[in-house]
Amino acid sequence: MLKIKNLSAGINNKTILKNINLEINKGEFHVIMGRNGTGKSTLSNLIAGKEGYIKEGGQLLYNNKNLNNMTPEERATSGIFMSFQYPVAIPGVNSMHFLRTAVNSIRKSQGHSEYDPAKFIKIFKKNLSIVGLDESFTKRAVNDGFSGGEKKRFEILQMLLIEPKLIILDETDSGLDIDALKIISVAIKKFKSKNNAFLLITHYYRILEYLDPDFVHVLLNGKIIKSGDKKLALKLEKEGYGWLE
Amino acid sequence: MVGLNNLLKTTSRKALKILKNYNFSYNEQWKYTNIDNYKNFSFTENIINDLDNNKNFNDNEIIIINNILQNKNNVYPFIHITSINDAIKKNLFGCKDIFNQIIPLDKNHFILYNTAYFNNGNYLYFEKNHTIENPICINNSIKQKNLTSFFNNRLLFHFGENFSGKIILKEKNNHEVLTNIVCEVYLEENTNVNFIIESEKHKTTQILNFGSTINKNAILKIHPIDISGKLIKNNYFINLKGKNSQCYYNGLNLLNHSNHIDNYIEVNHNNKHTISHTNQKNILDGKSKGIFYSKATINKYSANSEAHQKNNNLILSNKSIVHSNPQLMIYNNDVQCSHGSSTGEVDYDALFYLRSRGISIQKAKKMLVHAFIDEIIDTIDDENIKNNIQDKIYTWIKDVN
Repeated sequence: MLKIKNLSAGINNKTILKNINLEINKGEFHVIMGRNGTGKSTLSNLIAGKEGYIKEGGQLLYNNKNLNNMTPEERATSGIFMSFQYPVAIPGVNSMHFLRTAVNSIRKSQGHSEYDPAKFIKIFKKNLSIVGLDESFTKRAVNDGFSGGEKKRFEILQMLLIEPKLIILDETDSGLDIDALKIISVAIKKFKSKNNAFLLITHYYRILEYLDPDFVHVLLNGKIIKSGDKKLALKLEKEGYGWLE
Repeated sequence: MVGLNNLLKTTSRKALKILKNYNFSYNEQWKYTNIDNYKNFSFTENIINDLDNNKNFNDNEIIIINNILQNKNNVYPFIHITSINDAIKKNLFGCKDIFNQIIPLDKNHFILYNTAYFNNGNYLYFEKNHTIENPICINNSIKQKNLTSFFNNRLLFHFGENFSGKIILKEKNNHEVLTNIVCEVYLEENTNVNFIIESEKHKTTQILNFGSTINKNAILKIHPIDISGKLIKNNYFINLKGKNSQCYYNGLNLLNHSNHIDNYIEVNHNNKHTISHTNQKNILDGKSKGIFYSKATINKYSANSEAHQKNNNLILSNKSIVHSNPQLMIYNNDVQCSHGSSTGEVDYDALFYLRSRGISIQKAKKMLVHAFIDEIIDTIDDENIKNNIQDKIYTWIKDVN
């Protein structure tokens, strides 16, 4: 699904990712861990198509298509979804209207019929309860005045409604209390299937107690220096990153 | 001055006398609006009599064309509409005491010209103790044949005690006009008036002087919505005269091409517990220019008062220009005040967020522009008016790239 070959990239004339290689296939769940500032978010922003992140070398392929030539909306309609580390508040844009527009844009591009408002409100409300948000969110503006936890739940709600194929979760577990972490983890686990794939960026082992990752990678100084399974994450949680240097 | 009553003649002579020694200067109020081209224009009226091209007026609207009331007001029995000349002659509802008393004559030379060459205008009295749910629509338009003189337009609104209602003042000119409007609004005690000004004047050059005196416990909410304008200079003079009087100004300007809209808003807090909120949003495209200059003065007798000013500008073109200057003059320690201004392009992070969810860049931009506008539109407390204005605005936004 996603093939990263010898990828080097950066922002503001500074190289951050150095010669990264990573392959994510359908049905797989990958985790990237690493210290702050090692390039984890650079990688996710690069995949999602944020302007300013420059590919300096290597390849970034999604279903064998070069992502470099695709706009953020084209990436989204072809199945890529990034749960933002810091979801931006957009006062004045109603959450439900935003998501109906997003879901319908994607459905339309995939040749499916668009949801009418009545149908969408039902689906929206059903998914609100799955992520533990109340119905007041039908009337609220996107992320406006949301608590940190509500923002992360809202990201997962978007994932459930958009039904993407490749999901990048950029520190979705940060800032969540124990109950919220459980709700979100259950929602992710339920959504996980043999037809989609995940790349989770995290600092903590605790979310992995609920999820069963297939691969855990350590990103340090812009390079993937070690890959393993869930046990690697547990070792990092206990011992930190010092032993890898 | 033929046909004018004595008070109007005296006022007119007084204005002429001040004009003789009045030197126009580009002070703060006029700093960014060049009117040199219009200095030699006359202010005498060029009355057009052939206004018969459309007599099928909507009965639900009060139609005024070139200062002349076009239809009988059968719909709103609680509104008395008379020419200012007749109203003053009979001193209807005590109007002698308020005509020309709301905006000081010497505020600028356009008010002086409007008064000096006064010929006609309308006095609208809204009976006291009336609460009107449905909005009252007044269509005030101007037709001109030659464009070598300003057309003087004059309106005097007088709201009796305990009146509560919504007024939509529609001003739409599709053809080129030069207008010098003086609109005075007098709110007696305990009135609550929502004043929506819908202005669509693509080819208009307009100087508006809008003044309001707000008495005890009265509330004025003004929503000036200006959709384009060749050269528009709006001056608002708000006098919070009575205790607990309040004024909420929520303005929106949409500018493109080489439009020029300049808003000067002066609020004077002249009593205790007075509140003013001034909020102006502008969207600028093309080579347009938008000016916001707001001055709120809290005098030393106005303890426990509040004054807030906010101006946000959304720039869609790198050739648009904004001048923003929110100003507070505070002469009392026991007050709450704030002011702020922002000017910028569409928020890139918000745009990326929407695009990352599959929304096209064009649609995402429009969503953000709508969101910017809706804060002002949402202050209008009537769904029909809101929808109507939204439709007009969305038509304008269609061209946003």
